[in-house]
Amino acid sequence: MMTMKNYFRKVYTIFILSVVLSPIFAKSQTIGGGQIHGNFQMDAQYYLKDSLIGAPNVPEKLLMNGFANIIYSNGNFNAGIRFESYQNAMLGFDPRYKGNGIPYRFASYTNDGLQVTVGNFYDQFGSGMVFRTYEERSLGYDNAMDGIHVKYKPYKGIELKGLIGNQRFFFDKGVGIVRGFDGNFFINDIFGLDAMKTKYTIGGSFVSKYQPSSDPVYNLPENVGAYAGRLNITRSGFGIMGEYAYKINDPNASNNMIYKHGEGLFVSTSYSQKGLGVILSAKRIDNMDFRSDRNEVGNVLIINYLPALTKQHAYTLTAMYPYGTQPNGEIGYEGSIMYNIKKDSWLGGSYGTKVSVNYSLANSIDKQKLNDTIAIGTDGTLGYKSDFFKMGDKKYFEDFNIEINRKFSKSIKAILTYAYITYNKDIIEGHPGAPTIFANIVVLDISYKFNTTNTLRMELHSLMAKQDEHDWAMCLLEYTIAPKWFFSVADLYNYDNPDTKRRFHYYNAAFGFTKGTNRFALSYGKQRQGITCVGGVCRQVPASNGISLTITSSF
Amino acid sequence: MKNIIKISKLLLLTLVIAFSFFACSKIDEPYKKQQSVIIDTTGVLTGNTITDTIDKRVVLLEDYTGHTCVNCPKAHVKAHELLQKYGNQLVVLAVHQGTFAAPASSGDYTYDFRVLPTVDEWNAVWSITGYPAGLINRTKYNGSFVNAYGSWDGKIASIVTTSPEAIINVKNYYNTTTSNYTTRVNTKFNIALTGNYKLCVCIMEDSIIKPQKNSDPSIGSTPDIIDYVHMHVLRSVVNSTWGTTIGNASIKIGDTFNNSYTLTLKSDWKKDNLSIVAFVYDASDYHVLQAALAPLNNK
Repeated sequence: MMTMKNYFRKVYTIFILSVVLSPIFAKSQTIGGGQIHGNFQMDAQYYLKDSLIGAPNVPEKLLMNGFANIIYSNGNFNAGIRFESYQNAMLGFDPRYKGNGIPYRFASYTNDGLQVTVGNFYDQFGSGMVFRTYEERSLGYDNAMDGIHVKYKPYKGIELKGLIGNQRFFFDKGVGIVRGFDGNFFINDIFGLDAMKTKYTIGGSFVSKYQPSSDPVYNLPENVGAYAGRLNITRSGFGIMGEYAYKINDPNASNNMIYKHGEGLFVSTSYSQKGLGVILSAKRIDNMDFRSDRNEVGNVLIINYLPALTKQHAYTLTAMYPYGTQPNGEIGYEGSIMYNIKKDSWLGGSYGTKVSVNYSLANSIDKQKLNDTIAIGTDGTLGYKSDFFKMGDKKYFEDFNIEINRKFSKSIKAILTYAYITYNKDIIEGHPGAPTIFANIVVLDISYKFNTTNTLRMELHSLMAKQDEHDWAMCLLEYTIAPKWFFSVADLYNYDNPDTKRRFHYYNAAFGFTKGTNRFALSYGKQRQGITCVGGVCRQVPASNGISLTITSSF
Repeated sequence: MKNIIKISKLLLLTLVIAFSFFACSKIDEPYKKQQSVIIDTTGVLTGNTITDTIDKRVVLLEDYTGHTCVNCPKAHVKAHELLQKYGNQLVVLAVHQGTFAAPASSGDYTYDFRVLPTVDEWNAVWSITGYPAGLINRTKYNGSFVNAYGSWDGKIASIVTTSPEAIINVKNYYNTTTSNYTTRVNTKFNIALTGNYKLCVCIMEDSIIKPQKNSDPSIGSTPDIIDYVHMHVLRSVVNSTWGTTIGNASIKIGDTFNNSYTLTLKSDWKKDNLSIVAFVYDASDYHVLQAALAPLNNK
């Protein structure tokens, strides 16, 4: 009798053969009434030696990351694979990404309200504090599940999800088994209150991971459970949502093997009307590093996601000091106001002006000794006591920023950004002893449109700080001939580095060509050492100097 | 009303299924197990030579550290605790490497404990980016050589009771005529092996008093401990970064290799605080088969 494993292996084999034997790379193709589509990306860099800026030596000279998704859809059925190639992984990405493989493949169907997915999948429960799997290629982050996922709607307004599997670990799988269950209940739908203006949604999640232990030193929990409850209320332009999460004792390498429980609280309110938007959010995280392998550190085998409460800056210098979430303890607040000043007014001008003000703060939590003899965080103990609402004495990050976006005429528009950022490098980058940085940053972004296709854009940046590498300036010029071409040159200059020998120019020149869904971009330049963060998850970016090629395509 | 009863039943059923399916392992004190590892504390060192050889597993812990790394003293304390626990079945080597070990141009941290280029060449393989971090027998755990100090104990405990693939005997000699020190390393394999096996011989110094950054008030003053006692400091690798090949292709049970080295000692090293650390490793994946330590002088 054919086992389930062999059955699915056979299904995948048939699927992959059908993909390989079909002329699919030109455009979407029809197979038995279904459709195949996908996308491809390749990033390669040729590295030049540059020991002055601290660029590591690259014996291979050329490194490349690439992937292609190929998805087959036919009615309620979907199946797909992702081929990945690292020859070898580019600098800044974990070198354990090595070689070629198909780490992601799935098949899924929906029938009478039941959706079944076998193979790899991504999902999120609530805000993600007890479960979120996702992929972020710019970070080299992929904690995809490999197993079984079911989603069922047994009744109007009720959505239930269950899952079980292992997590991706580079081209292998993690040792732990993750089980999860989530329910979403749309109260108005369930009780036939569709006409009611106030809408209520409640939800709950339970996630557990199993990892065997034969540790000779610690009595370790082999099953670590976490649960969360959430409530969401909306009425017209007003909304409030809150979620509380709890994790039982989970001694691991990240928390130095302490047995304290973990907690997370996330609350966010928003209000919007025409021309105005306000968001206020707060969170408290304590000992919430949750992984399917207790021995791992870094961005691998993470089961949950801790929402970031800081603005994701897009400009080079406002993004120079980004915040990375601290899962072992932080309290954070964020407030944002977006306001559109009406056009044809004195302040708004002929086309109106958009103003947004944003403030965020991340601080340590209160931590107190358990008693006089045990130091905070001692392994094999409960670690510490913490007053839930008390702030700790360390500021991790603070960001106050204003952005004014104004169109002056049909040809000219500009964005002016000011940010004041406090950045605790010691904590965020893990550079003990590094000073906290206080940076004033101004960015002016001006676009001039010559006609419907030709646009020139200029960015002028200034960052002033008395710590770290002190002051920076940057200028970028970008010329776009829509929809096919772009050309850009930029220079990032550390003109006030206290070490006068390290006042480097990080210049860059690039051009790109787009035709249909294919895009080619070639650039040459230097990259400064730093970190990059997306949604509070970060990776180190080493210094480099070289020529980069990016090809993206979809069909 | 019917709806409410139906939904309540469904919810109840859902909760029962969810919670019965996912059991939780809540652990109560004691969190640590009673010591079950038997440690040989009788000692086999007599004077400047070894009269007997340790035929038990001796684990090598390399503590990657730096003088401006404020969290590193915590790892030093952990290493000290582990030495007390495992006795002569553990050898600790403090490898000063990376940004935190680089000397400052002025101030308290102008001294340099780095053994260059060896330590950078080593770390090009291990890829340590956050300090402190340690290597346990240069073995990969879940694909990585790098171990946070909180996990050292468990990993050492998991291997310290296993039988060693080789035993190492280190003897040090002082020639009164030439005033030179010589170290002789005798390696005997306990099992048959194929592959390339190398011997690495290092000089280590204890009790060097130099400033160290610190963030933990329970260890000492913050942010600096001016009279910090640096232990197990790697001073030199006697036979190059990756050592000497002692067994290639096929090794039989009982095969023995003898290697001798004349030592070059710098004038500022205190001879009474120096030791020789030797270890044999598999060149294909770097994992250490056995380690040994012998003080240079009688104490």
